[in-house]
Amino acid sequence: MKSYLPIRMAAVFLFGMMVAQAQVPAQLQTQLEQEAQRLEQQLIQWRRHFHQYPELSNQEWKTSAFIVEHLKKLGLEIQYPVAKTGVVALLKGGKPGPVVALRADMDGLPITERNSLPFLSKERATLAGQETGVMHACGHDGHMAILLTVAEVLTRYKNDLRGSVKFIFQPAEEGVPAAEAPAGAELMVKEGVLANPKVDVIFGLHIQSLMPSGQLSYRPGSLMAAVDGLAIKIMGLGAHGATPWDSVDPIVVASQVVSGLQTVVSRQSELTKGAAVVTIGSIHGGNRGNIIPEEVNMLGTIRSFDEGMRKDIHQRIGQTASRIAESAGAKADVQIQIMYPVTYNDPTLAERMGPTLVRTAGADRTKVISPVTMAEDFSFFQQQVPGFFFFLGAYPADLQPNKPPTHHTADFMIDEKALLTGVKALVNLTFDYMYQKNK
Amino acid sequence: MKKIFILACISASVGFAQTNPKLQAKLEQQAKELEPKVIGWRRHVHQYPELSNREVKTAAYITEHLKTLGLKIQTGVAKTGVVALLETGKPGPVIALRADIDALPVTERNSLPFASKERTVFNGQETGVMHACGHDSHVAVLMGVAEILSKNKADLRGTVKFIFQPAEEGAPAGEEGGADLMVKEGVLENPKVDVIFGLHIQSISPLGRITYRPAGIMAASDWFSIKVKGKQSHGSAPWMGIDPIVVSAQIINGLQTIISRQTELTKEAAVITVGRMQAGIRENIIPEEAFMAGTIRTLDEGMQQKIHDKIRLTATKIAESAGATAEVTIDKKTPVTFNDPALTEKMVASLQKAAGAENVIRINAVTGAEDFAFYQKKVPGFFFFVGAMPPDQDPNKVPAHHTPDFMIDERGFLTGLKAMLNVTTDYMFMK
Repeated sequence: MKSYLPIRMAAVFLFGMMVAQAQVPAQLQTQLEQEAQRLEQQLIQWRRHFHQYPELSNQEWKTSAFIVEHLKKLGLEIQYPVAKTGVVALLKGGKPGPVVALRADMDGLPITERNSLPFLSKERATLAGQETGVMHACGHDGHMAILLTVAEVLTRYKNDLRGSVKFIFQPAEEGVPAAEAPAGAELMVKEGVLANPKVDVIFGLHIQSLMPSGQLSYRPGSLMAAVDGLAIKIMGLGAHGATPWDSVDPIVVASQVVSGLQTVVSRQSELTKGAAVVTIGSIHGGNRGNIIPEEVNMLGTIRSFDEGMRKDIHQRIGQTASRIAESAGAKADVQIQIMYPVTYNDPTLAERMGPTLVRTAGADRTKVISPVTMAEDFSFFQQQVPGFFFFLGAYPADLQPNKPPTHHTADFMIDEKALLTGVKALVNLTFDYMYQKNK
Repeated sequence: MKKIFILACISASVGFAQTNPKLQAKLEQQAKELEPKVIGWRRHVHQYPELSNREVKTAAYITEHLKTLGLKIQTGVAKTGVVALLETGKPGPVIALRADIDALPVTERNSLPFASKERTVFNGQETGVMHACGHDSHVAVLMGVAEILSKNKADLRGTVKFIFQPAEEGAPAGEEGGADLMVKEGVLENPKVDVIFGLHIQSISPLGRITYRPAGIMAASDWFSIKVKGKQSHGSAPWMGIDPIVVSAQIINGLQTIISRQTELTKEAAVITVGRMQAGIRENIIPEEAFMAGTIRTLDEGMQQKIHDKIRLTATKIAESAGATAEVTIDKKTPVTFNDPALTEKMVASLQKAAGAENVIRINAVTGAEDFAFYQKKVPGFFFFVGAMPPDQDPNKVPAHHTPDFMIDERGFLTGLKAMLNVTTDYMFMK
């Protein structure tokens, strides 16, 4: 977690101050903070409810019903279901202004929770024929609780809003099998979530269990990687393991391909423009020690931060795998599944909103960070409208050191005290954006 | 071992026509008597070694001796070669016997009274010259064989062609030479040669031992070079170029899989060695091209061709995988030294008479090469090794051929002499 030089932080801060011609009145700021504070217990209760009843991607029916119920109480205009199980709600402010979208994702993961929380998930599901536990192991439960609370705060102060707020509760951020695609943010965009009324800006956050609790982290430009899936089938010729000369050995060819793919990054990609990763995460060939199999299947993931590099890497992967295979008389079938684009924070917007995060969490708890190679389908919204995505640190203070609360693991854990900072951040971003925009 | 025993039984039971035992005993006796002279000749040749295609004094020395035997002599064959014909006037096969006569650019390091003091300039470098591969012995043995056979001409049949061949170690750059050139100049014609025999002295094989192998005994040696063309860039920005060094590394690994995965090693061994690699001039410049060169050793012509094709495929496709190109050149140098299997089986008994059955051993192929192979491409031939390691030598510390400490035990010559006489006369009298 390397942050930029303090001097840069200062520059960002000063720049933000200078263009911020209009400010949310100090009294209103205080009232909003107090209101958020007042709702903290409910915020935590909601998060615990979502946590106890997680649902897999595109199956978030009970989750979305719970959200709809509470939004109705606030008297918002609701669209449901959107993009399978999604919920979209519109809050019209007392004064004219831009349309600000706020987004939370809602899906859990096929992981069996391992801890002794009173609200631990006992839910089970069947995924691809396998029985599994279900767990909010990425923090989406927190995102929903935060956004519901934000909706309540903003509704109470709607007369002070200059514009409208669109609350987007999005299903299936974790992705679906290729056959079910498109889903999640991509499908929401296709179904017109950013239109009627047309969204001007979108904000979103992600809880980060490995970052200090209450810290806000962001980055102008590319924050999270584009992700694409990679499937390579090496087709050789089978033979007895004792007579490789009768074969075209797909295992040795596959190992040459794996090595060759690394040089796509190390030798052929302009890493100063953006980092890139090619990972082969699964390789399967054969079923016995003394049989040279006919084929080897590899699965991998590609991470990149620049559209040009992304296309270039795809092309080079194809060339590398197929030519190396041909060098030994084998063939390579390369399939690249286009998944999520880069989570790209509009630089002007990010620099403008940076001070809002500083105001929310304090300068010492706001960091400009290096990009991360994880991916996020929030990027589909950002392809359409300027968007700003940031991380909310939530490292549990009392965690045992041998159990790092890594996302997507059975030991994932967050510090609920961080949630309030998330609420304040989204409330402040909304107001600051509206007040700045109008002057 | 078992196989040798079976072979011995076969040759005994089939009962090939053999040299009259009386004649054989006489030749053997004469060989013993001639041994001191053979050693003397070898010492002379050893003391005055000459490099490939420069064996002028050596050829003159040989010619002088052959003249005393009354043979028909051709000199200046394939530059400095000498060919002599012994015609018995009786019908029978034409048998060629070959000795190679060139020395190496090695500076001798021992205290022999006949150590070479010759010096020359080779590839622009001053160097000593030394018979560091034992060709001096080959010359002396064949001179002895010529003398004994000439003396006993009346008892023999057919024709014997003595071939003293230059430049076995390879002609100087830009020159032709050696067995290849001798064949081109018609050494196997007029009269047409039916069979050819040759031997090589071996410092690493015990004194008195003869070793052989049917089929490929010494490897074909081909040279290859690969030029990988990439695109130059600064070392800090590899994405701006195409790195021919990383591509070359991938190619070198890929080439090894031709042997390990794609070659039928139970048929014969094979070797691909990249012995040379050159690229770049500075740490922080990715060069435009990389050059590598190596040798390919094979023991079977079919495998040789396949491996050549696979080298081309492997190098060009791996280069393309990174956007580079590879230019592959394969230079066929020396073919497999291939002992005609039927001929080999027939001649094993002749070797056993020369060295004793227990001293004739079938060996594995060696991956060194020998231009005797060019004769064997044209006519059936048999090439074998004669041991000359001194009995008190620690076998683990034998100075290798081609080194300044190379040393042989001259008592090995008699075994060589007898073996050559036996294969010649046995073949002559075979039906």
